[in-house]
Amino acid sequence: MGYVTLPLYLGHASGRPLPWLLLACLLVPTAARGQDADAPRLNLTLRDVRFDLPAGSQAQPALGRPDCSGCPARNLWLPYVESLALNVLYNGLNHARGHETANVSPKTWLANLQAGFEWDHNAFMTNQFGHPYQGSNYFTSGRAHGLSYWESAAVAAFGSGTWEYFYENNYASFNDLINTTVGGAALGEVMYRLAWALRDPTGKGKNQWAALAIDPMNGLARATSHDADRITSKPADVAGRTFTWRATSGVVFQGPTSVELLSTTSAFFDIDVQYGDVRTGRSTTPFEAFSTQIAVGGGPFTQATIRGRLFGKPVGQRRQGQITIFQIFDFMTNPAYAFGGQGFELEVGRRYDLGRGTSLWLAATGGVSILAAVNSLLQPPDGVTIPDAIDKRTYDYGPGARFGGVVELQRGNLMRMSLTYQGFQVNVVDGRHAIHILQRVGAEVRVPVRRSLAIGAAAEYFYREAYFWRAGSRSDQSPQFRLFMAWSKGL
Amino acid sequence: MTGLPRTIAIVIALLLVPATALAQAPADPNTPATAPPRLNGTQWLAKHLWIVGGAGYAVARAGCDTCDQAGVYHDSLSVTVTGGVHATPRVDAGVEVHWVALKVTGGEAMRTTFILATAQVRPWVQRGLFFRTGMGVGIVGRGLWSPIGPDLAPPFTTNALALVYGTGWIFKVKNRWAVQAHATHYVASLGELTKTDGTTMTNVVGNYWTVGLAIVVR
Repeated sequence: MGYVTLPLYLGHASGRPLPWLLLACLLVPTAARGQDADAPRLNLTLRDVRFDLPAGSQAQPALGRPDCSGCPARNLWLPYVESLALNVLYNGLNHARGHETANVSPKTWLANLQAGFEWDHNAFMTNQFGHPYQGSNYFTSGRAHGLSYWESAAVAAFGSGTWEYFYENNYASFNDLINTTVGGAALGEVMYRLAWALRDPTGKGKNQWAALAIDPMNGLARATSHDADRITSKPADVAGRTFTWRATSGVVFQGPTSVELLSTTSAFFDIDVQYGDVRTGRSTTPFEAFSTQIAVGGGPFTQATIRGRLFGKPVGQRRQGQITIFQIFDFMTNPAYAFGGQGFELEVGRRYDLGRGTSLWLAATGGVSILAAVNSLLQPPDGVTIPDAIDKRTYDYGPGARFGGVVELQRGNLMRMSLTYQGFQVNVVDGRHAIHILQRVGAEVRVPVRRSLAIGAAAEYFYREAYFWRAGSRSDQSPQFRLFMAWSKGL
Repeated sequence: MTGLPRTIAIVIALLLVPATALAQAPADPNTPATAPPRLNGTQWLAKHLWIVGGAGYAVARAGCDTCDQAGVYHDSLSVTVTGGVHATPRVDAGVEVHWVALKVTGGEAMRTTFILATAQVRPWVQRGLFFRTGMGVGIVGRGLWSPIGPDLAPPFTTNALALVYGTGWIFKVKNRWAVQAHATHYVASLGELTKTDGTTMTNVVGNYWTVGLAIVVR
């Protein structure tokens, strides 16, 4: 499935009205007013979960935020209409590419509604990254029109649900609904915040195009509302937020696996982004701090991970401890394994000050994968026959647990040395019935060469044990080594 | 109601009874009249308690790798019990237990038990409309099976992943009491399923559409 949103944006950037905008105007009903202005509010971001329009006008400020000239006008309905328009767009793209699933009619709608959800057999990339990206479009449409994180997640769910039932002729997909909604929220919030960190609405026009490419739906909303023509501040929830990034490139040596019997060596490139600091501060604002990593190498697109903070609280007398709840988005493929999914993690960490600007960060994590995908190429023991993978799909789905830990030595703001351990348990509910336990332990060393330049080496050992139902267990393992140069910069 | 559902219902009831009783506890007399009373944990829970209990009519469809593409439909009574708190005037959150029957290939119907973390949002506080969603496990028959867990006699399901979404309307009756009408769609991915006749079906997914009425304490 292709995900081409640039033409959509360009159509608006050039000022041409879109037909669906007229449709939106026709469909937007009279705004219902909330009647609970005096209702008590808790000190939680859940207070922003309204799903209605605030009393008064559609103009900001709203929801108790301070005066905010840069905040988008809150519009409850337009994101839902835009989600339907996005579905038309994606369906059109599928039509253009000759996908049989794009041929929909009231007959297919009825059949889908009567059948409910099933699992689909699309490629790993499509299901674990393509659908979350599609979900991020729905989600950022909500954010672009002034909705909160949780309200925008509902928009993503709506967009996903309507797509599954009405814009494809195969039965609605259970995994798509979850990946598009939950993954779309994670990916979308990252896109929304990174775009706003780059965008300068004070008239300089700096990085506008980059922001547009990252978050096209917000660019679309700003263009059609003429917010892009106004000199404003940034929205309150992103004002003053910056990020640092680090680019790393080098070579990766991957040891043999049960699938790839020969070791491989290839170039890799990855970018780490740290938005805010997930290890300090008190926060109940989703993704007010997050970290994300995108990597290529050993394949066209090998990794995209997001850890977005939903809740953070310092603990301890000197506030050196930190309790954090993360929303996790994982997408990892390499010769040793493929793993992807949506989850939540609790991290308990503590920083030890070692003097001379050096500190040690220790943390343990545990949580759940509400839906994980894991490749299922492990063969059962000799003499045991298990059914073929479903429709030749090479990965399986299931919920599970996740756990890990990290020890990291830092000097200044730079990581010098780290030891990490990560474990994923996947209880397969669709595919070759098994419980997979994937573990990886890694070590990394970085040596600064110049102010923002470092060289380094990393090693990782991967081990998996899969317990097949009535077919015994099977294990796989593979080492990985990397040599690299890293360039970091804070914006 | 027997077996696991009964056990769960008893546990929930036992957990909720003390909190319900505390709902009538008087405010601390030392608290100034103008300031809202400061509540301890139990008092807060009692004040924010959210309980829903009701029944409805359900249609279930089972699909699997080897099942008929059209699926197998079965209608039955469904029972719902939810316990939780209202986190904000608009948002309720809690744990939902739902029972409904499913037929996989005809013959004997099997009970599905849903245990879900659920959240309910009311867009307008003064109006009854609500939307609900939740996620958790859906269990057919005796319970969960694991290759590293205890042996179970069939029928049982080996894995489960479930979600629910739906909408409804709450009609307020008096004080914290209300009645709600709801329509919900439950989905349970039941994995591999072994029936009493020994046959095994792979990758079973159950869809359950429910309409019902419930009594609400909120």
